[in-house]
Order: sequence, then structure tokens, then C-alpha cells
Amino acid sequence: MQTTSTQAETQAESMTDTALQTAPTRRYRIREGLHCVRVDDEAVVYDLVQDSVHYLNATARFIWDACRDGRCAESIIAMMQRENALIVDPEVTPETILNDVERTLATLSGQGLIVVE
Amino acid sequence: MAQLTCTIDVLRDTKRSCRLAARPSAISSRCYRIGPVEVMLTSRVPGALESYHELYGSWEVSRVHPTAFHIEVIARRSWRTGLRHYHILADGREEFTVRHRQQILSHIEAAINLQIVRHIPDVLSFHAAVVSKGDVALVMPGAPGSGKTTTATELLRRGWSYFSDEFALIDPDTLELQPYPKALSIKSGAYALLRRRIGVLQQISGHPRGTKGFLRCLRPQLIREDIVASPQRPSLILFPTYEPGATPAMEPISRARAAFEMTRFCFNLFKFRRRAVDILAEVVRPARCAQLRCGDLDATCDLIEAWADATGKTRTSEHAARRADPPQSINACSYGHATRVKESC
Repeated sequence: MQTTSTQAETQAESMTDTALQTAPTRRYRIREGLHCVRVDDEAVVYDLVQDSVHYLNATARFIWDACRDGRCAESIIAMMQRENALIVDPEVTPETILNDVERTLATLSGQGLIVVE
Repeated sequence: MAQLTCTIDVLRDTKRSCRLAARPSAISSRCYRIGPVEVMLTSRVPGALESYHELYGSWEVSRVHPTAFHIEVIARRSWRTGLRHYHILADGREEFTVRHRQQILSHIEAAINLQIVRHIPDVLSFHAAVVSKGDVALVMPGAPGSGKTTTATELLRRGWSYFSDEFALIDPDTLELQPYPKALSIKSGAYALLRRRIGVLQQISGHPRGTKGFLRCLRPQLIREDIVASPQRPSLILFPTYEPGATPAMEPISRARAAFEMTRFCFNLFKFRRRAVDILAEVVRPARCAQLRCGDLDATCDLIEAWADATGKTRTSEHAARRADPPQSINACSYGHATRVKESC
């Protein structure tokens, strides 16, 4: 599955770099004005402010849900690692999870679905 | 004074007679109810509505609701060129101007389509072809040229039942597809493929319609008299793309992805907004969903029928449905896709 645009990818890269450099206390929270409907393990989100529709695959939906209570990346990663214990996939390493989470957070933020507190 | 009054009355009567003589034919007006679509057609142009009535005469009713679409055909002679043109109006708004009478029918259809896109109340509408076989209702949302009508027409020839070749209309309360059995719009390319399969097509004249080229309007009852389907819920959602010479293939997609992709083809998403997403989530829940690469027509329809047969046997089994989903890996991480509702509409 791919991100939507080059602009989002560029934003993601810069935000990943920023995330690594700044203090690890930034919290991510779901923005107001979003209507999320779950379908199986994934979700469709309607942005009532921008009148746009977003599709979240299973991993993105998990991270999205984690942002509901305002979590930092490390807390989300800890949740992912606990979840990972339930998924038998030898290719998934802690470094992979870290990269995936940070990239997804950057993309979600770039699309205006979450805000950084 | 009495004589003067009498003279004035005679003059008035004379003027009235002259106006009546100059007035064209009496207005012709007909009403139709085709599924959830109600239309009132009016025209003073003699015979302008006859070709439409040939297609939809079986749907004629004596009256329609005041909110029905009003399509009017009027003729005007250009003051500049002296040439006669036909103007097709939808609810008082001029939509098309055509030069030849044989263009009137296809543009009446186009005007009705525009009104459905803009105004149809109480249903969620999508750009899709819809057919059914037994318990399996197949929805094929797709852009123009993706193969929807050609594939749907061939499936109808194979015994499937007909909802529409242009619109999927979903009742938001029952989540059922509502038939809108308009005439199938067969473009030139599809005609070449279908004319030997459906012999009656060769007896239908083509009409030019803008960028779509020549269209033939095929009354679906000419394929089979009892061809119109009954309302039912979607159970198979396929997104077709046509690749000449390609081997037809089915690539399963998740239901959430299918719900998202359907928003791209929704005409009135901006009216339903969050409720549209709620409705689509419920619509896709029991359905199998896939991207369909269309190639050879027979092979494509064979593939669809195989999927439909499998869907009909296992559609109530959640376990079997999950087996058809693509595997989810935690490192296949990307958030997904987005679309702007106003752009997609």
C-alpha cells in the first residue's frame, strides 16, 4: 500500500528526522472533526472539516487508535511490540516497527488526521 | 358604442385566431417511473418524445410526484443562421443543444442522467454497472471506458438480471440496490463485440452523442422480457479496468479499501457525508471485493461467474470470507489513501 503523494512522503521524511532529533515527549492526538468507521481490521475516515475520505490499513488503524488518548511515539511503539507478540512474523524487528510507526505518524500528521501536542 | 365594442371584440378574436394558427403543435407530455427515477417529458416538437417512449413505454404512469425530473425539448430557429436547433432542458435549465432530431433521444437520456447525479433524493448513487444472478448482486464501479457496460451486457446475455449499466442506487435504510433499468448505452467499441452475440443490436440505429461517439440504446427487455432484477443487497463488488489483450484477473481487496474506492464513484457523497461512510461500511461487510482486470470478454465473464458461484455458496460464512482477504503484515505499513470529496464529485 502506498502513501498518497510525493508531498506527503517528503513531509514524512522531514518529520521522521525531526522526531529523531527532538525530545521524545511529543504526543500525537486525533484531530477534531473526523468520523472513523471500522471495517474488519481497517478503517475509513471521513474528514468533516476538509470533506475528504481516508483509508487506513490495519497497521495505520492500530496507530490511529493509539493516538486517541494522546500518546507519544515510544508509547505507541510499546503497544505495537506487545501486539507483535500476537502476530507470528519472523521478519518484523523492533527497528522495522520503529520505522513504520514514525513514517505512519508523519503521514497521518501530514494529512491532517492527527495533531502534535 | 355597442358597435365599437363589437368591433373591438372581433379584432381580439381575430388576433387570438392568428396566434393559435402560428402556435406549433400542442404540447405533448408524458410521465414515467423507472425504478426510483420519476421523469416528466414535455415537448411541442411533433414526434420528439416518440423514440424515448419506444424505449420506456412500459414504465409510463399517469402522473408523477411534483419533485420528478422535468425534461423539455424545444425547437428554436437561430436568428443568425436560420437553422433549426433542438434544446433539451432539465428542470428549466438548458443542458444541451443539438442540430438533428436523431440526437434528441441520447441527449434526453443524458439530461436525465445529469439530474440523477445532481438531485436524486433518498438514495446513495454511484457510477457503476449493476447486475445479479440469484442471490449474488454484482456492483462494478468504474470510470467511463472501464468496461462496465460491455461486461454487464454480456452477463445479461448469459442470463443475469439487470439493475442498471450506469447507476448503482442504494437505499440508505435497507442497504438494497434499487433497479434503474434504463436502456443500455452501447458505444461503438462495445457494439463491435456484442452485435453478433445479441442479434437485435444490429437493428438499432446509432445516434451521435458528443465525446462518446455513436451510441445505441438497447432496451434491456429485448434481451429477455423478465430481465429486470428485484432489490437486493450487494454481495460482490468488483472495480473493473480494461486492458486490451490482457489476461483477465481478479485481485482481492479488503472491504475497507472497497468502501473507500466506492467513495470515488459516489455522485452525492457530499450530501450524505459521514452517513455515506457508515452506509458503505455496512454495504461492504457481507461482500467480496476485488479489482478486476478485464481483457477478452468471454474470459472476463467466465471469471466473474466463477467468483459469483463461489460467492453464492460461501457469502454467509464469515470464516470463508476472511480466507479470501489478502494477508495483513505488521510491516506492510502505510496509512492508505485519501480523496477529496468535492474533487471526486
